[in-house]
Amino acid sequence: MPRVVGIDLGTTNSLVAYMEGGAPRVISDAAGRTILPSVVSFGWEGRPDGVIVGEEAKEHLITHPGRTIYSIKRFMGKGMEDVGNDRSFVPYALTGGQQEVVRISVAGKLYTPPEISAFILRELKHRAEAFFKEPVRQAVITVPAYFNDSQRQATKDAGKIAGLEVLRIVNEPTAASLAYGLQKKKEGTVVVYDLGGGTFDVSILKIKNGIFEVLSTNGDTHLGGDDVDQQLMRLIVREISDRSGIDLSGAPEALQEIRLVSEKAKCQLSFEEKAEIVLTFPDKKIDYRRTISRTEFDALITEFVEKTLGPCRQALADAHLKPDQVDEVILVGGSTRIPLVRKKVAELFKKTPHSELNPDEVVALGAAVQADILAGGITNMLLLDVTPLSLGIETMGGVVSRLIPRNTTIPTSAKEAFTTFVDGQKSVSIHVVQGERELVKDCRSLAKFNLTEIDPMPAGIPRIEVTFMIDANGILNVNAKELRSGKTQSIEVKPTYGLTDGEVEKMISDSIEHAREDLNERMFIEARNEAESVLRHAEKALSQGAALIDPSEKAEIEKSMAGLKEAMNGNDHHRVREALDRLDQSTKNLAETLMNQTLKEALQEKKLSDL
Amino acid sequence: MKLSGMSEVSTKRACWHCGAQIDSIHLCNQCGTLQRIPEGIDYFTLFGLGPRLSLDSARLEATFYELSRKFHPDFYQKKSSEEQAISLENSAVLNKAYRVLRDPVQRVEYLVRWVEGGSTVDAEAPADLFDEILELQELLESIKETPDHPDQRGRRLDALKGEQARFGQIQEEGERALEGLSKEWDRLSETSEGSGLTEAQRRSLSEMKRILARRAYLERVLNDIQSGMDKLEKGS
Repeated sequence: MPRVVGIDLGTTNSLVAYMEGGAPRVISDAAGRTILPSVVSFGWEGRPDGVIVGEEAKEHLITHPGRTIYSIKRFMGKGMEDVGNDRSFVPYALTGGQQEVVRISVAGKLYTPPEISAFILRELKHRAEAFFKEPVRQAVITVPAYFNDSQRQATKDAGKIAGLEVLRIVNEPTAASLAYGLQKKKEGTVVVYDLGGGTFDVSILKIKNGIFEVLSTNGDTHLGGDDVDQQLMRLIVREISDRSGIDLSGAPEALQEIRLVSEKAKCQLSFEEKAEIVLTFPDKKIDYRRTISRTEFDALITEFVEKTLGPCRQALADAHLKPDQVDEVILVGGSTRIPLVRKKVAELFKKTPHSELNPDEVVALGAAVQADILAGGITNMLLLDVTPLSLGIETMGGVVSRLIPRNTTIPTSAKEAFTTFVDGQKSVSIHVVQGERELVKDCRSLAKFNLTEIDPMPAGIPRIEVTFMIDANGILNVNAKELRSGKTQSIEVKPTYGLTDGEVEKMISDSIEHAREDLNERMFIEARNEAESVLRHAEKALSQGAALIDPSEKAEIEKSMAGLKEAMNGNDHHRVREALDRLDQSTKNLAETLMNQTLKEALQEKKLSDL
Repeated sequence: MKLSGMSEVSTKRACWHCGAQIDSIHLCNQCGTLQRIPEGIDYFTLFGLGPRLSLDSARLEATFYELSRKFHPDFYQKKSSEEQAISLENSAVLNKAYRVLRDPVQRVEYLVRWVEGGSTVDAEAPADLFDEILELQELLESIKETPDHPDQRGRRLDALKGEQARFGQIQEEGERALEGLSKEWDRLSETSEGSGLTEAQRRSLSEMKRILARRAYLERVLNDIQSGMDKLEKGS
């Protein structure tokens, strides 16, 4: 049975897990670390693709902020218009035109977020392969429940680029519920409150007889522990500016250091009543010290925590539930360690939330459970998830016509008939959007589907039935049929903020190409090493036996040697091998002659000694 | 009892995989492969129920879970691409059917639509509420023109709250009437024999349709009130 691993591709940290003996486990690296920081540093010579991933890359956040990428998940499936404030909070350069996917300019190249995420996924893939000692090709990857279609598609693309077949995209809170349900074997109505590094989700599930039915989900894909760090950063930058008059908001290295110090203080304040912040920038003559108390910290983040409660109330309303009808609340994600978060959640749902499972690992563990279900291991558990956002199409006057309401159990589909407005019209364009608002401009544009090659007919005669199918990944698939002929209608898809299939294919072939380049490089190095030793031998042989061969032969050998030296200065291992062969040929006679000579001498020596 | 239009779809067909004759909604007894749910089969039949409007929600849920285990794509990961496609389509039909049947109002809408063979129930302004609605429209119009009128804000907000309560109550009355009609429909269906609809059933259906049309209109009115209140709150 091929291995299917479960991957939690997080904003801050990523993990890979698998199922063994009915229990999910996280796979650690050679050093025993389970968490892989979602950080990719570029421009390192001597490294594959010039890239460093994880713990080691994290060290370069301060030393090389411009080429060390973190929190890439915030940019998955986004266009420049969506990026907004985030742009000023990351030290790396974002580019891209209107209605285009964001690109990150680093080490002289442009990368899309899926390509950068693919480096993280590849690292996890290698980690799993080293553990199993066999190739891993299939995976289940988790995403925030509130991720829209473009963000899910971008995650799937990242998997493909990393050489993984993504069998399923699973929502993080529901994955957590699977891990929880498997261990606790409890039934009832469960709320999963998932506050991660960059995203917030809440899902309400009914667990019964092995069925995990999601009743509703809500969230904010732009709310997480990062925001807490930023609150602290703002405070520190402001106080430094007040005390010394130096504004650090435009200094990427300093900001990175402030960010890391803020993160540390935040974590400390989850367990202690106060934290000390110390920052020194000797070159700027800044020596900043302050103690922050839990009370001060709580006041700083109250607004942030309150922001998560709105989606919780909406999820309850959508599930037609009152807080007292909830049996349990499960906390997921590192940010749920913050005491104020726990307090507010307990108040809202009127019960103490659970957090026995490691909040950093539970999502990856759940992904492994889902992977095992798909691999045919577990057969009694089934997850029935929902689509987080309503799906609609643009109609006259920029109004949205809703086809699939939010919180509909997936897979789900809707059919809609289209026709032409002008005689002989050959194509019809359908604009698909996702969101809860009435007007197209307030929703998120997903894609334009162009029905093409419509047979020329009078206006209103063609009847094209379009099926919008949201699959179990929460990803939209569209197909169309001409009803009179029963023929499949061809469709061109133009994703608004996504990559076209062609672009993904190119990225995959590029990464294979890179692998080939790497291989070429290694083979050249091996050939060159061999050539060096052969050259040394040839020179020695020539100095010993030049008198034994005729001058034309000697000239041929010297020519071959020069040819090899030249090939060694290139980068083509084939040429080095050819030159090596040629030198081998031309020195054959010399080698034999020398061998005979040695033999003769040996015999002579023997004779002499015999005497 | 048979309804015109309902249950006329035959489940007799050839298995797409082995060609054997089957008479099942989703399974070939010969080769065991999953079959596409016949197009046009009604949701009640899919759930093994007659066209009744009072449903036991626990039983409905149990059937939904049971059928989910039969159809869900998770269990067809290693099957042929044809079977995977069928599993996807069947799951989509099942999920939609459950969404409709579990909701008492949508259930009635579905039945009416099915029997009449029409599409959605059109919203219709209730004639008896004409004056009230006109009054509300004027209020909403004035809010639209001067959303940030400071002196009027409190008064307008109170007025809208009053309207919200009033129309909400009318809506609830409609729901109760639908409940009563649903019970009546089930009783009539129990006693009726033969194929077509009885005169009493037709009357019951047309009354349900009237309430649904009214309900759809009032739903819009309630939405307008809500967005009017949002506007006032934002204006402050």
